[in-house]
Amino acid sequence: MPMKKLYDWVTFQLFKESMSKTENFLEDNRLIRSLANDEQDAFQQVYKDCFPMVTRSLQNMKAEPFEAEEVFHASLLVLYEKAKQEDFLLSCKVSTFLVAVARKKWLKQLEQNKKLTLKESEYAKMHENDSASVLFDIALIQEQEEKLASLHKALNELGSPCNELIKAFYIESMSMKAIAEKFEYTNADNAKTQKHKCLKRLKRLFFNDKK
Amino acid sequence: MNYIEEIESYLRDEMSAAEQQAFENLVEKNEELAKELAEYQDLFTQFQHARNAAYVKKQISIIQDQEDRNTLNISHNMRKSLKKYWRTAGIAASVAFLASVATYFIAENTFNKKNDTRILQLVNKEVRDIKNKQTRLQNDINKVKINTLPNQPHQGSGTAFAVDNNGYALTNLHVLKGGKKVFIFTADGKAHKCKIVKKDKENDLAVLKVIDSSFSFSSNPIPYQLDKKAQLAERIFTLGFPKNEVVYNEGYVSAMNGKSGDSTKFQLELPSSPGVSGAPVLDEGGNLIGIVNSKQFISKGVTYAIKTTVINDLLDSLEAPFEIKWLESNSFPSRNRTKQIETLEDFILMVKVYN
Repeated sequence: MPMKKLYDWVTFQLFKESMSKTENFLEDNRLIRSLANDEQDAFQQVYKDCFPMVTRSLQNMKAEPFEAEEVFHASLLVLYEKAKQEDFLLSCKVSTFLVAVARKKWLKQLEQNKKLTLKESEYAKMHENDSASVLFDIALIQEQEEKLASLHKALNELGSPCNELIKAFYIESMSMKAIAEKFEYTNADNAKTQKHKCLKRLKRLFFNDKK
Repeated sequence: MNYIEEIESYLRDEMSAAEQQAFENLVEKNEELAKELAEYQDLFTQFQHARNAAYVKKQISIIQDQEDRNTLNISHNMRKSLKKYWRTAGIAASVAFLASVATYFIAENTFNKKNDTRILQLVNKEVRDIKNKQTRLQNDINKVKINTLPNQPHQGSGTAFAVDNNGYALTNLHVLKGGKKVFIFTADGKAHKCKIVKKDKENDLAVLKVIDSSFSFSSNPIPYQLDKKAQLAERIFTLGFPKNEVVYNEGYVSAMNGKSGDSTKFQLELPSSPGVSGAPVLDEGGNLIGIVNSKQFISKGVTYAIKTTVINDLLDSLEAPFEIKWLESNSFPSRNRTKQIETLEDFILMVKVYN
């Protein structure tokens, strides 16, 4: 009998804890949804709330203030992309998530530049916040960043006016009509044909780079 | 085989259900098309990421612009500075009051009552003058407030020089390490808060911009130009800030490359000390031929400088409102060194970094 009671007690405690967890992060998850809906206020709130905490934590890891700012900005993109995934749910505060991403990113950078002794990096890894770290895979994030960089590299190699045309349509989401006017094509169809040619070349460059 | 239009409308979800079905059937049969589609899909995913990155970048720049504006916005700071400077403002106001009362009494004693209107005019004029003075005082207080140095010792220091008269200056990136708030000091000893507009980690260069948009280094144009390359054995001089005042130094170009053949730099025979980082290297005629980069300390007397080609590449990458307006030929009055220095002094700046 006492075993049964103990079991009940434990389940109840676990239930209570999980309830309080979701309640605590309700606000944060709401903020994430607003962020995903491109609400400017939400972005500003995240930025202003988390900037001091993230940069301070990076500066404790030998980052210069401007380096800390750069890493913070890159981490904001990670958060934004995560927010855009519909099934993404925080199990920690937004700031905790950003600190964890930023720290991991910075550690990677330090490791790549060999500015960190092995002992230090192990120490830093030991102190990673696990509730946040399960929410992202730093290797995946890095892979994605490299892919985006190779897109920009391919766009550079594409040269003018192809790269501007592609950027205007696929990245800045301009209408074909506006593009035809801006790039002085006789009509939208003309611009479209040109754009398709550019897209083909871009694809070739993009996949050659990656190989 | 040219299915690019179909591929695109399929990936952009612009097809009707029937078209979609037909296209999927086609893909199933055509292996080559399937591969093509997969590649475009990959590319289109990257476009989505690029859009996200552009959105985040834009939001960040909006926030940063707001922050810049807040530090500059005078009306925004009015209340704050009144709080901080209420003593000064209060004294100024009571002086104004006393002055007008005194003027009134003096006027009353001097003129008789028939001259009432005249007295009133006099008092009015006095009050208006004082009001104007106070507005000016308020503006000055606000300017002082932005450019007030943090109340703590600086974390790093070095030299910078003007590259655009509207407040753009070039320095070494490593000079800025250790702090977030960057100030430059003009020859008159005044501090001006700057933001970093460009960083070049590879070449250890940074471009600063004075936040106060009404600032300019001098009413004269920048006297030097940036199109000359250093020549071996050429005599050179520098002006830098190894201490709290400008220090003049002379030497010569001793090698055309930097440490272990680094072609972005050249070597000088010149005594160097930490604060000289970022100082301009000028030839006998006052042409700019490089920027001191004393990060790598080898032996006493050997200093490295970054070549003008590297500097030009960096400046070319800057966006408007930055605009290089080098003169056709340099405007140094003569080859007389002391006169050259007089012309230069407004454009050579001490940099200090605070936390």
